[in-house]
Amino acid sequence: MVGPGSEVVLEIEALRIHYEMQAATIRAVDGVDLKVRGNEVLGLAGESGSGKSTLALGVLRLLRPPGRVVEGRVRFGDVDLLALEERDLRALRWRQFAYIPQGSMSALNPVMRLRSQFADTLAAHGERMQPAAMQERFTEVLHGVGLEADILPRYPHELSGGMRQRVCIALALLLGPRLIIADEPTSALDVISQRVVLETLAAARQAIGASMLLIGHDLALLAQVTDRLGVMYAGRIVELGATGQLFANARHPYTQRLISSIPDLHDRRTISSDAPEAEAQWLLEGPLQEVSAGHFVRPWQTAGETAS
Amino acid sequence: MNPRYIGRRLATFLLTIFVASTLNFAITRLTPQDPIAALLGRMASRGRTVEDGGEIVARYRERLGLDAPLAQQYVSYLRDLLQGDLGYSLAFFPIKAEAVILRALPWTLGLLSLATLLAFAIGNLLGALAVWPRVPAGFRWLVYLSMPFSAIPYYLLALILVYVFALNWSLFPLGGSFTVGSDRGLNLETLADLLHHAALPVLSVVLAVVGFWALSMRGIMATVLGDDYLIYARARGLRSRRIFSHYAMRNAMLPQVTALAIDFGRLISGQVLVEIIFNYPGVGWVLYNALRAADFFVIQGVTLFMVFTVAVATLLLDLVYPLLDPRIRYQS
Repeated sequence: MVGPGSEVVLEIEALRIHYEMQAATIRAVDGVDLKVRGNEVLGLAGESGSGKSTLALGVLRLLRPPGRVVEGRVRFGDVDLLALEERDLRALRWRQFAYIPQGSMSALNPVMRLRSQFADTLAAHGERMQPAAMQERFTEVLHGVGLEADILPRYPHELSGGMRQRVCIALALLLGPRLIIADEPTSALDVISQRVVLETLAAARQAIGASMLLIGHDLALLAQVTDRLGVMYAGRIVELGATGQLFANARHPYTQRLISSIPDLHDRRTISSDAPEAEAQWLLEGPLQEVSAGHFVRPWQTAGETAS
Repeated sequence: MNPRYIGRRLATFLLTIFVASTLNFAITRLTPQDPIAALLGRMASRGRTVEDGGEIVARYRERLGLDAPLAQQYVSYLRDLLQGDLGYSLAFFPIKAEAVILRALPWTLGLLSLATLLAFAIGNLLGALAVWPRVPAGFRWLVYLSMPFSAIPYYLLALILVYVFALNWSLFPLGGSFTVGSDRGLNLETLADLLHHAALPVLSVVLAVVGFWALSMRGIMATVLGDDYLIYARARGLRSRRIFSHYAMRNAMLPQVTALAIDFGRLISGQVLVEIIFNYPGVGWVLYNALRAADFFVIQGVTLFMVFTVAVATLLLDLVYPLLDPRIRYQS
């Protein structure tokens, strides 16, 4: 098994994404710096509304108004994704970075056979193949996620939720991308399927040696497949470190709460604070601070202590 | 497709036709007006005295089967109908009513299908492009421009077009379906002449309904644009044109096809008025003249034709729809 390399595949710098509406401006992503290295799985955890999906869409340049990147850079290898012309961007899509959407249930065109949706993806990137070669390619990626080629003539609604999710993973593998951005790829599945599908995803990623930015809200699930883990809160990263390190030695109060909220047979707690006024102090200005090698924490303040 | 579904749909279709035919029979018999007496009355009013009027009425009634009991008339009416026999045209006696209608049929079907297809295609494309990103903002105004026409009734629009383009500028003929006295054959010249005559009638129907299609398409398309499969298609790097045609338009068209089936009746009735204004020798024009002449059997036939056309259109769309949307499975 090859571990994470040192080259940086994706580098997000000071990214700010706002939803600018008439009534208010929501700062969904409020200054995020993040690096994804070669062959690495970086997890990004946080509650709904913490800005993690917006971050993914912003990086992929799939935001729809009123969402807008206000500031920041997204470097993929040596290109600035945010500055790229639409046609150059289209050439990079899927071949270089693939996306596994949150709503995989509705991500596939409901009135198109799966084969056409696979073929469309190839054709969009100038891959002209004989039908037999194409079938072979599809079969290969489907086998990679534990599906058979006999689903190709079917329509999406003829598959189960887990199968559709696997189809999306298979599609992501189709052109052998360097980076996969997976946005809560299992959130719509039951607990058992979640684990199985996530393991499938991890194995498939490993097989093509791609890096992955894996977004989720289930820390326990993320912990199983990630090398590093970032915790997002109110549009910012509050803590970032190697997965094991973060679990063993969480510093930020929000991370601690997130970890302690992992369902436990004996003790079930929720993340929602018992002292909301304390939350106001969770985000202090200033850069992430390195508390030990590779472990970064955002400054915070609680009633009793000020720390970082 | 499920053969049982097709069977049930066909049965519904036949039932519709049967009920419409029966109503058609009942309504005409319930009218106090006697077609023969009306005919004689008109002749008399034009100064032609009809001697022995009573006997002629009786003979005609016998000949047309109008003296038999209602039940017997109904049975023979249905029997004749099955054989495509609609009865005699009173105005063009001894020409049969079906012959009068059949002669007019190609004109109406040609005009109707041309206008419907054009309006449907242009309207949907206009509406879809109006919300598609990367379409010049000026283009969006075309939708708004098409809207006022939808508020104007067909016949008024037709009159305006005649006044402007035929009367004032003489760009198009005032009416008719071809140049009288021209040699008609299978050649481009004939086709050009036919299209030249059809242009204004088609335009008045197209203008009247194109805004309706554009507006509803715009609404559906705006919803589709935010759908996950569209964002996912963009993420996969599909070409914009491909996404527009096979992901956005393709899916947004589904409710429009349903709307087309519902709207078909309105299209046909609008067509009648347009034909009258343009003196276009279609079924609408035949109906108009039949109404003026109290040509009962022709009126009956035209009404049946309209019901039949709407029923066939609905049937066809119903049979085609599952092919367009595989999620619709007609179970028995």
